Amino acid sequence: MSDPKPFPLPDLGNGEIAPLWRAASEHEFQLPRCGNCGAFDWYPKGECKQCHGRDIEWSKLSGRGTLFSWAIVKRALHKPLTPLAPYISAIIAIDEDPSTRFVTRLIDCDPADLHAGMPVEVRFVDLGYPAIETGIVAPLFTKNETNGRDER
Amino acid sequence: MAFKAAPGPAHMEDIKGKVAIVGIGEAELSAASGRSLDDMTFTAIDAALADAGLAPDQVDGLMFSGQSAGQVTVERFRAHYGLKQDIWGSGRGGAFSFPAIAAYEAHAAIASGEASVILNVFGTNWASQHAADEGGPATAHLAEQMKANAEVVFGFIPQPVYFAHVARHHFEHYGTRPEQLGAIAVNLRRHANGHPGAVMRDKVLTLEKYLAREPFIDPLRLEDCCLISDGAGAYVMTAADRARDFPKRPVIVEGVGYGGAVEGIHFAMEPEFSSTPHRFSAPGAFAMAGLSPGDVDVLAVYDPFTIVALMAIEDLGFCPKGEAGRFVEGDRLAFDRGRAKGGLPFNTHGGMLSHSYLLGINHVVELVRQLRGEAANQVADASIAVYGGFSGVDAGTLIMRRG
Ligand SMILES: [Zn+2]
Repeated sequence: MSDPKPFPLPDLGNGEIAPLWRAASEHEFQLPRCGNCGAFDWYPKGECKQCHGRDIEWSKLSGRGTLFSWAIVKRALHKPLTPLAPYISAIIAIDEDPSTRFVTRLIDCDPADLHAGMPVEVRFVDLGYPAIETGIVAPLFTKNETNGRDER
Repeated sequence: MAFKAAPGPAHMEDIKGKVAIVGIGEAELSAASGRSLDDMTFTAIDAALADAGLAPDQVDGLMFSGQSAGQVTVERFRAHYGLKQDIWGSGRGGAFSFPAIAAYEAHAAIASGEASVILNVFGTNWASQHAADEGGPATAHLAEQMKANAEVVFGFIPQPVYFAHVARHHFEHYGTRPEQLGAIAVNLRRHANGHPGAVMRDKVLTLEKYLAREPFIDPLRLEDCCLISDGAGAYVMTAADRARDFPKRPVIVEGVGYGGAVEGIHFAMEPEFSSTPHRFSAPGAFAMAGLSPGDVDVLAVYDPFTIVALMAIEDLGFCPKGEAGRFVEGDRLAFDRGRAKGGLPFNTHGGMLSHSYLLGINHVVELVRQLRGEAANQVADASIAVYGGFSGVDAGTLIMRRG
């Protein structure tokens, strides 16, 4: 067997996604948004898809959303992710604009308990939670038991 | 003339009846074999040329996959056969959606006099690469920086994870069930069991066996995912009015269509999440051919996952959107049920799920065999065939008629 491959980590210094990770380290959930009309620029294109403005800024969001879709990964096929499994891969529709979808993981949830439209909220924990420690703070999500509106 | 994967349907000039496929060939399809890509691809080319009664120096056009590593290009083709003639070339051929629309660019080359006999070729050694823990289908996704930093780090990789989300969405929105995906896997396995070239020809799959295996990327089971194979395929195109000069019964291209996903490779953002760009490519192809899905005797679609096959059936118009789960139940997709009995003969070689992962070129090879009447799982009196090509970011539709 070959040596275990290192867990994939985000680039906090460079690239279009770095601001997401710098915000997460401050326990803020941010996505890029048009300064002119407020539309989200996700994934970042640097130009607003509504008004074609180029005044795009990373903005703090509520960190609330609904569960759009999910998969229970019992065995990771991408070898560097092996120690993470089993885990719940998830796509979240964010409350500020449900057509904007954020890829993340669900944590501390019972897989049998999930349904489309379930309210979720962000939790800032280690990217490898609960299996491994990476030293990177990540916006992972969990079921919002308190003030969410269930869309089902 | 060249199509990029722009969102929505692409406009295409009418090429109905202009192009014929007059030769087909394959190299042996297998799991990891250690065979070289060149050896496999030239074996397939030799077979296609023999089938068409051609010598290499009669070929003056070559289409290949410019986006895939190690393909036989014009330079390698000329060097291999020691050819002196000019050869028109295009990297917008090979596999994925391109076997569906290669005839379109081939027609342009024929009409302008740049080429008259054009090969479309594709080979893959992904099985051997995979066994050696290098390369493979996820390579391009891992290399894209936004995906690397906003998806891979969360565990959203590789393709089985994407399509497990898509399947879940289809389940939640349309009530599709695991045993309906299983019906696709079981029918395609049965086709492979009857096909001498299929990698899974000796492995039987029943619905009970399918359901007994727990999902590994829930809701997907292992049998929902395609094979990874070594192999190659090729076919020969020429002007339809020359087709009678060739030894085999020709197959005539009646319609082509092409369309792109709205959000490209950022699948999570695709507005119609559990749909495919077949919904953009199919209408134009059927309009060009003057046909509808009801006229089709045999269908082959790019089937990396059972859920993609299921969505393709709806998005190509063979049943209303959201109803393919019920549509595929039982033996409806079996080659020997047929349209007259309410069936839809589907991936009669076993598809990528059970024949081989040759990324679609062998789907076209199989359909040509069906229209010639020389298929292993022959559909009775097949005269119209459709290939639905797919890559995740785009789709192509090819409608062919027995010549
Ligand atoms: Zn704007």
